[in-house]
Amino acid sequence: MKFLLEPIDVAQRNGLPTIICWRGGAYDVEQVLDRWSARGPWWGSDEQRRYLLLITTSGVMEIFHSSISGWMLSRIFD
Amino acid sequence: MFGSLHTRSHFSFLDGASCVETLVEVAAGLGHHALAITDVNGVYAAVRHQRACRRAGIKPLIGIDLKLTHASASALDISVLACNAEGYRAICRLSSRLHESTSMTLQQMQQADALGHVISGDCVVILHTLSATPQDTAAALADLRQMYGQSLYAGIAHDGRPWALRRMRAMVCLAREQQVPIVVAQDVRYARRDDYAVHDLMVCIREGITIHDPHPLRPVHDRHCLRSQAELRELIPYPEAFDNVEHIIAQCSFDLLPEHITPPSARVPDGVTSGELLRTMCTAMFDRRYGRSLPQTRARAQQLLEHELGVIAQLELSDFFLVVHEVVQHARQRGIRCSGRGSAANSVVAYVLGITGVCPVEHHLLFERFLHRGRKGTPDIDVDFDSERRGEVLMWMEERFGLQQTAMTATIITYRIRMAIRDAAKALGWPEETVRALSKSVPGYTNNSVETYRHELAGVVGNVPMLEILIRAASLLLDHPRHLGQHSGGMVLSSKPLEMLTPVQRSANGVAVVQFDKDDVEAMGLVKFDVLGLRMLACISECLELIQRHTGTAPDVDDLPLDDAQTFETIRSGRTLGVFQIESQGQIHLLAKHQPERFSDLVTEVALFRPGPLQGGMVHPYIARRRGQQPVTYPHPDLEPILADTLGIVLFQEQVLEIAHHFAGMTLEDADDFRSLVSKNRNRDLMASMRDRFVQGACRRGVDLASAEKVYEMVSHFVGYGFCRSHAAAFAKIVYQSAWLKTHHTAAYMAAFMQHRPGMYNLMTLEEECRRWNVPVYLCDVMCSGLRYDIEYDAAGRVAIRKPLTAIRSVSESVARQIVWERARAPFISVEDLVQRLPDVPRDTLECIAIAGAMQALEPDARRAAWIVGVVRQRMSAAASAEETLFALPALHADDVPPLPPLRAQERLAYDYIMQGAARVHPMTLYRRSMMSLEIRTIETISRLSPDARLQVTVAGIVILRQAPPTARGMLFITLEDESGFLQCAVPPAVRESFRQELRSSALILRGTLHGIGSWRSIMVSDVRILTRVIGGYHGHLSYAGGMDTLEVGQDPVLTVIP
Repeated sequence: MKFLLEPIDVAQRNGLPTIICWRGGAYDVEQVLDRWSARGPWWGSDEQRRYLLLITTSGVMEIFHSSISGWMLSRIFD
Repeated sequence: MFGSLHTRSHFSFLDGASCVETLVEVAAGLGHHALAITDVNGVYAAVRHQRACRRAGIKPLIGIDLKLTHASASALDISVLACNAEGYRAICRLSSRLHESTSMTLQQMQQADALGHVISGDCVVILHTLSATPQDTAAALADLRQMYGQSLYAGIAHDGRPWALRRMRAMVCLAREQQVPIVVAQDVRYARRDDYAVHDLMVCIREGITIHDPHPLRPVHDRHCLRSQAELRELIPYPEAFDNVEHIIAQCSFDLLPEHITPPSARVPDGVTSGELLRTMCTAMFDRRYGRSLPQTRARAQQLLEHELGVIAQLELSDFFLVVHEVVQHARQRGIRCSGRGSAANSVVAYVLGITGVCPVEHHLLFERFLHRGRKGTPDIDVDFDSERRGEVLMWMEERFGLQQTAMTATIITYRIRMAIRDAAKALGWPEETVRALSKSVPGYTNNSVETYRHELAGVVGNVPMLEILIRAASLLLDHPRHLGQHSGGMVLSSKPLEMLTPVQRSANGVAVVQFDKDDVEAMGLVKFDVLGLRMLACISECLELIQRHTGTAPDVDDLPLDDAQTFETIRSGRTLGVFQIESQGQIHLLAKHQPERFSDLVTEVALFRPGPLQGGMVHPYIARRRGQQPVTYPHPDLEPILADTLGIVLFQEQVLEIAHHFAGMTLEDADDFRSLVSKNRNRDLMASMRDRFVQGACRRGVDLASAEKVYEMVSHFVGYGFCRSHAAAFAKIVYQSAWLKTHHTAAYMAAFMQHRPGMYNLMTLEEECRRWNVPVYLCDVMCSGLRYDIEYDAAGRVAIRKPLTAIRSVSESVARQIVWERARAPFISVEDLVQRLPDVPRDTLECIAIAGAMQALEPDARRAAWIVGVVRQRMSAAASAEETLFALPALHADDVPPLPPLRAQERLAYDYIMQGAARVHPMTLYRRSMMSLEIRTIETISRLSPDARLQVTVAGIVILRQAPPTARGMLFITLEDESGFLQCAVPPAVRESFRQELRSSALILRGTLHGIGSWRSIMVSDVRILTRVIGGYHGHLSYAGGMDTLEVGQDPVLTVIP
């Protein structure tokens, strides 16, 4: 498992990601394994994050959508 | 059908962030068909929930969240939902048991369900996803399945945290293995996502952490809100779990709000109904009240009695009246003084039964303000009891009606601004000192927003970024319940065991309390009887006992002629310090203007000084009309019969009701609703609609539009808290009684008053008042003081007050009892003798007694007495621990006490304050010469000056009261006291702002313009100095007590010890 925090492009259908574009590659999303959310301190930035755990053609990826920084790749699993 | 089955409201006390009404509104908006409220360990929200659901058209489910301990050492989170009335009863019992112990096991839960309602399908049990291992979860599920069978469900939820789906799947697998059906049970803690912030803040407050501290219970997201079925179906891929939600909703059907009341059971003989018994008793007791009345009064009373009995019978309240009568009767038999107050005094039945003490016919009291055929719920009957003996009444009631059938009403303690600032500041991590300063910078009670006090808060912490967060956080907390409290006197009496209707829990002082407040109790059809404690009644009782004991006979204050000239002279002259309700400076001022001459004036006096009439601007017109400075006019001739006795001004709630009924043509029920709405003035839309109804109703009766609108405007000014005439009349009776006793039995009354302290003044002021009334106050004395204030007659027959031993700081009742007990054996002959005979009394306490001057009969010099105490006690300790030879030594040698200087005046004064809270001479006497040099006059001198000249005067004194009532629009009222009297000083807002710091001082010099009317004087302050900054440094002046003053600059032992 690698911790990353890199911006990615995400193609979506019905609010769910279908293709992940990262470091020049494009990876199809095969299955959504899990989803959860997180929110920053209410007295601070108040950032909202929506996490998704996906099976892609490149393996398992944990991505999130932040109300501040957009789509990010947070972790990949071997 | 869908609905949330696991929802906590803010009645989970810091574990839920939304009120029930909002939760229901949002649930209905999301298309839910039902909503279960499952608060932690209680059903506090049940009544409001049911009402809100009725309004929104969705089904209410009542439940409870429990945390049980399990053999696997895991905590089980369980919700129990009531399917029917029996299920609700089981929940009530469970909740009651939960409050008896700190934790509950599965077995204990089963025992609490003695009748097996949970098992038999009257309840649904939902086990929520565990954070424990799969093995533990499996074990818990197996145990629960064995206990609850078909009633058990496994709750599954998408908790919004990482690996939520994996946990959900694990729970589903375990449930399927154990053949337990699954059901969607999302953990909802608030209605909308934005409420996440207040939820997080509440968790921090509850756990005692700051918002910067990590904690596993703190939310990491905002998804504990209500969500639509569609959204949840996307997250929870188990359709059968949704089907089971529908199944449970269909299964649960229970109405908590009955259409009938559950009265307490009165003692009614066989073959007679309670209505018949009530009628028989009223008939039998009628002559006792009206035997000596005028024929027309008697006839009118008879007519009203018939009418009232009819209404009472129709509303099924006969039992209630019989029970209240029984309680009052019992209290009187035991010599416990009591007096009915509030709207119950409008009732002839209550008067005839002796529950209230003022005649509704003579005082034109309106029964409909108390009770009418359209009244929903039970009426309030409030009875004041001698505060010292109220506990006896409560104990007797528990015994008489059964422990299972009686409990106190709860009060929901909600966040007010000061507590909100305090808790929020703590959660933001400010140190305790800053937290205290922040909370003190805002008023205790206000309806203003937190933002209003930005300036005051910034005065403590500066304009820092955290201030914004504090204001936001405190605003979020406002109005949310913080904890459950106990009503001051509302006792619920029921013929059925209360656990069938509500859980009962114990308050911190061990009193049984239901989980609902007074409104909810009424909505549930339960009957509440207000058993209130009134210290003034204790004072009157004690005063009468003192008179009886010392003179052999006591007056019957309940049967006094209400026209005693001397009593009214006391009242008119404003010498009313210590008199019930009319002792405040504002009331004394009003007395000077109002000049009451008869009992009905006292009723008006009591009613005038309330926020309603004060804010409605009714006081000044009334006074002007009474003094003949303004003509008595009526906005419409129809109002003359209603307002004639209050000179055309609306002063009483009954008048609002009568105007709505007679003038606007409303039914009595509607008129009472109108009266209630106008008094509270809470809902603008409702007020607007009522205005239309009022005006249209009046116009239909032939009143022209302009007059109708004018009358409405006049009536609608009656906002805020105002008295009903009956309540004012009941209080006026106590006003008259206390004024009569003060006038004719001053020493006994003031002794009783100082014993019970029902008023607003400190002990020093009360002792000064005694001296002004030529009643000496004798010091505590080990040779004759007891445990209570007493009166003594000297050889010349002059009466004085003797202070009790317990007036000395650190002398407990137990110590005082030891002294009295030992003295009863034989009088003490010396300090040495006293110390030796009281070996169990601590040395410090004996020294306090000595220094307070209470041993002066044995040793006139207090310092010497204290020295002897020390020496004797030292010898006694040595003798107890050493050889027998020492034992034979005398406790005090002649040369043990060296020559000691007597106490100086300042020392005496300081010790008096420290030891007894009051000095034998007023502190200002020590400064008088210095002040005379500065042209500072005594208050008595100022009282003799004519106010007409608008003189500039300067006064100095100790601050005994500091008040800034919301009705005074920023004005601060300071009452200064010196050795000659007291004076109210009004500080306008601008002066208050200029001298903010100085005005906090406990001793002041104030300069301003003299105002007054009659014997009343006050000054409008324009300049302020702190007393100790002006005087001082008078080393070498002649001392009050002889000798020389040794006060140094900056050293003021006297004033710094004043509490």
